[in-house]
Amino acid sequence: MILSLLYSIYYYSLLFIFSTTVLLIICRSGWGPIPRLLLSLLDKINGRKDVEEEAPILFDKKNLISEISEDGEGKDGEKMMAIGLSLMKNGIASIVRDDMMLGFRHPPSALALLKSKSNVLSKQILHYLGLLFRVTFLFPLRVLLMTFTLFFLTGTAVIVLIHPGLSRKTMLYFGVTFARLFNVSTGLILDFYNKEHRPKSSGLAMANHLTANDIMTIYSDCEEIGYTATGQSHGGFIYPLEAFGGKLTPTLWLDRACNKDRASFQKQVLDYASQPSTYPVLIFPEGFCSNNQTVLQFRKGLFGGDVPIYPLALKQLTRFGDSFWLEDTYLPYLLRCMISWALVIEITYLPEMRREENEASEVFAKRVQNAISSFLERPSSPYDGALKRPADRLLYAEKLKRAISRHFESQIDSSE
Amino acid sequence: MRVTFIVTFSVVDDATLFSVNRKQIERLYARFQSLDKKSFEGQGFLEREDMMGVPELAVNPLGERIVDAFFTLSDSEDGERLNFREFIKILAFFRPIDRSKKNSHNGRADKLKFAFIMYDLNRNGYITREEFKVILNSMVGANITTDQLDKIADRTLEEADADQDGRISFEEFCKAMEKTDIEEKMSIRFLN
Repeated sequence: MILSLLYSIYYYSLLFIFSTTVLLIICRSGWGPIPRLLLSLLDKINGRKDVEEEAPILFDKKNLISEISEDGEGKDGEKMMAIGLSLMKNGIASIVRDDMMLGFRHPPSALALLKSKSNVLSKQILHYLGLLFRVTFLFPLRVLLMTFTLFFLTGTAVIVLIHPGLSRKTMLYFGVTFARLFNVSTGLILDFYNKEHRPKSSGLAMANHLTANDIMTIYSDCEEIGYTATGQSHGGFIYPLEAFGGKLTPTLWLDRACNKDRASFQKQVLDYASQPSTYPVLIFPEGFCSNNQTVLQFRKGLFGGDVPIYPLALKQLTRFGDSFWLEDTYLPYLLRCMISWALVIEITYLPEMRREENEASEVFAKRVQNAISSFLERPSSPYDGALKRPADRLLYAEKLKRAISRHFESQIDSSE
Repeated sequence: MRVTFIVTFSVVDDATLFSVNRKQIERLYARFQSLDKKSFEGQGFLEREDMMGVPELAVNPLGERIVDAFFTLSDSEDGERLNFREFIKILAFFRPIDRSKKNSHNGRADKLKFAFIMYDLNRNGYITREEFKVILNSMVGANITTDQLDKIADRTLEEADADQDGRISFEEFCKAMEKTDIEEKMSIRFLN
């Protein structure tokens, strides 16, 4: 008797929350402050009061090659000493903060966290109860929502294909509603700040890159205009998301652009962004997903034009769930997201920026990178994200040695 | 963790030595813990491999020399283990020099001492031509021939060797560095 009662409560509350959520989103509404209130309740249960998320130590650091670049003056002995001191300073600085891997450090695994709480039995019990709730209630709820989201996506993509003359407003509604449904299925709780700086016309919107789902995260706040996505086809689960999502909003595909020639693709994007009627192109200049502890060096490719740039700063609060993509493939990552309590992300629109006359694209790129990183109170990494790979680090080490030896070359020639 | 801080603070006599505030010490402690990951709970001290495991340091041609200098200057008996107090003490060498304070001279001397130990491979108090060659070789790799390397090492020695004994003492080293802006080249200024 009790069992079937419990089961009914479970079944009906699941159904109720699912259908209410879907209805709210379709009617352009939402749960409002309720999710945040639930999270603060969770904080109280866990006994967390003033939680401050861990942050890296802030100080300016150049990359190794830049560090030694000014040491080429004077006599040989002076050069050698200067280079030695520069390398020493950078070495000590990297003991305090390593900028090559800072953006890729994995958060401690659930098992590790559990072991560290092993002394306090009540905390362990709470954790397991929470896990039980998440797996038996939140996870099925999100699976239901995701299933509905996929149906919605397919349905709207078909509608768009059948009726090519749909108004922009309708297409935007489809895109935003899909994004919001997707977000709620992955357990996302979002807040947007400084909406006065939200892009209102064409240009390039640039954000730091947290997860594979960043596009849906950012798209969900669109009101008057949407974003143009840039795509590179991935396989697996992401494929239908991209293929169909690409019908709901304008997309520029890298693969089909001139035999994957990056330079001409960049030109294509800049030309597109300078036309007044297009949606701003959403770009992630870091090139890689990072864990929000730093902002990786922006790739300068799209900073050479004269279009307005709209920076967006994404910040996550990790104590309810970490959305950094560390798994090898997408599905295990999605699974982990759906089983966590919530993924809490805050997005702030920063004031529009433009390249100054005669400003080099690297300099402008760094300026935009610094705007985002100083807002997030994180270090602005002097290294490209590719250096997370050991092979690329070896190449960098060789490049550094060549740069150092060039300082001595002129002296060698003149003495012979 | 709180208890450890109080102990650390009281053990370190001159708290004004550090121009780092309490929050920065907490962050440095978090960094220390993240480097100390041999066993799950951490060993409470760092060994050389812990530091050499830092990717940016591994790419640095003088990475091993820096770690060696770090451990040489620490107070531990066997020079193989670094606890948090020693970690902070040596990092404090690289604080910006406060010219208004009387110990600004010591700030400069500490930095120069670290640099000297970094070059002095066998720790006999002198830097020899051979030691310069080894350091230079790690900096440039195969990009410079051995002959050219020898020439550069010779010239470096000549420029600094005041008493012409074929090796550089700490005094000669400091004299050679007189013109260098040690403050700018060897300090790290924390921003928060």
